[in-house]
Amino acid sequence: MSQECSCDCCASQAQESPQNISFRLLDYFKVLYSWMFSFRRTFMVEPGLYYTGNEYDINTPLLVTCNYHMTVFVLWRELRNRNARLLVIDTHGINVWCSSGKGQFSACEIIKQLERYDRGILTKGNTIQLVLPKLSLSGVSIAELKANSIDPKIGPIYAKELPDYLDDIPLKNRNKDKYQFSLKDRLFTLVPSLVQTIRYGIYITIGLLVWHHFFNTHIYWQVIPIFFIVVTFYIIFFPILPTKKFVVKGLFLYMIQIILLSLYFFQFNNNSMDQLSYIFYIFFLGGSNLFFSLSYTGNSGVSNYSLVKKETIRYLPITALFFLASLVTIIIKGVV
Amino acid sequence: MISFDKDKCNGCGVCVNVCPQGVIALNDKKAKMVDYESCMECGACQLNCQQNAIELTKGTGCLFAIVREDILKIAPRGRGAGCGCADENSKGACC
Repeated sequence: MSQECSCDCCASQAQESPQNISFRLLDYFKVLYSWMFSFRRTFMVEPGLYYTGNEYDINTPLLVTCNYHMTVFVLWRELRNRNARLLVIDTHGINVWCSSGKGQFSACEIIKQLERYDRGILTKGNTIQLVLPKLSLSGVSIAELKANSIDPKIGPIYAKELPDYLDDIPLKNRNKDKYQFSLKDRLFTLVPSLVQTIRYGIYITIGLLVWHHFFNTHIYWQVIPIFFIVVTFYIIFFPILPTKKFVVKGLFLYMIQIILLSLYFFQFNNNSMDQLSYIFYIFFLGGSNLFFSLSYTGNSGVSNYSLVKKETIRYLPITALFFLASLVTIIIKGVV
Repeated sequence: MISFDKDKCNGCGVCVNVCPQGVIALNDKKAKMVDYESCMECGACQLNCQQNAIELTKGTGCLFAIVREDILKIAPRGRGAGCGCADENSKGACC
């Protein structure tokens, strides 16, 4: 099987046995933690061949996935009540999409993991049928797998579609599947995005609180709700905000916020907000919206390198200017 | 950016099948981009094209990676993402 494999990965010939995969209560907490901080660190599953259901059954589909704990957990949740096989490959604990983009999720790594097992427990025929997650194909060469007697099937993008997909025998290629970035997908990114952004908000709040302590500016805690609103509204309304450019979406939300803020300031304000505070909010909201719309490119899963690069080069200096202007305004407010 | 070499393309359609955004279509048995703004430039089409008919600048569509790799130039290509997902030697990292 390793004849066509050009990488240095197929030396091990140890014959190992598949293991039943199960998750315990602690794993639910690990998943929760991974979700909240999923852009920073996570837990890993030991690579290897696993099975779900009552027993290892060579006739059941063999699915490939990464060794990101949360991904394996989600797959297990979909497959636990049926007999299926799962080949967990070593992607350094990185999810399918990111690891295939960076080269850890590859045909070579798949072959390396298969080599650990006796061919007789992998297949009864000449080829090994494997179900690939569609999002892995930026790292997995179908031709390389075929050259190594593997029959790859392009599986669904979403784990929740696996039961129906596996029931439809013989397995088909999901050629037309598209990554949707639906409301559910976006809400999944909401909590980690809030954790990320509000962390910056806490640093800013501490700085403003110190300034307020000496100069009585009364602006410090407001940063956290501003970040909360910016992040939440951006993520929820993402597809209906105009154009496909991240920053333009953010600028549109910023315009709405300016209109609402100005309405409040000029129509309903009972001296609760002075002019400098109003100017501070105008600048700070601009910086916050632009910064988050740029940083969400990495969390979204629908960003495009060339377009994001253009947007970053064009709008990052403007973002910095907005924050700088808000800083100058709060300094003036304190000393005047 | 992505481009297709019409002379090399044999219309096999593998690029259409592997694209997770459905932004490539066959027109007169030649692959063609139909929605560039939805293309994630993931490189699945390029990797799986046996004719080498696809040119693609693959990168990380992420603010922090672009700042480190393209603007500040303090990280090598593909290694600038702040979450650590780009570091081949990283353990327990994800994005």
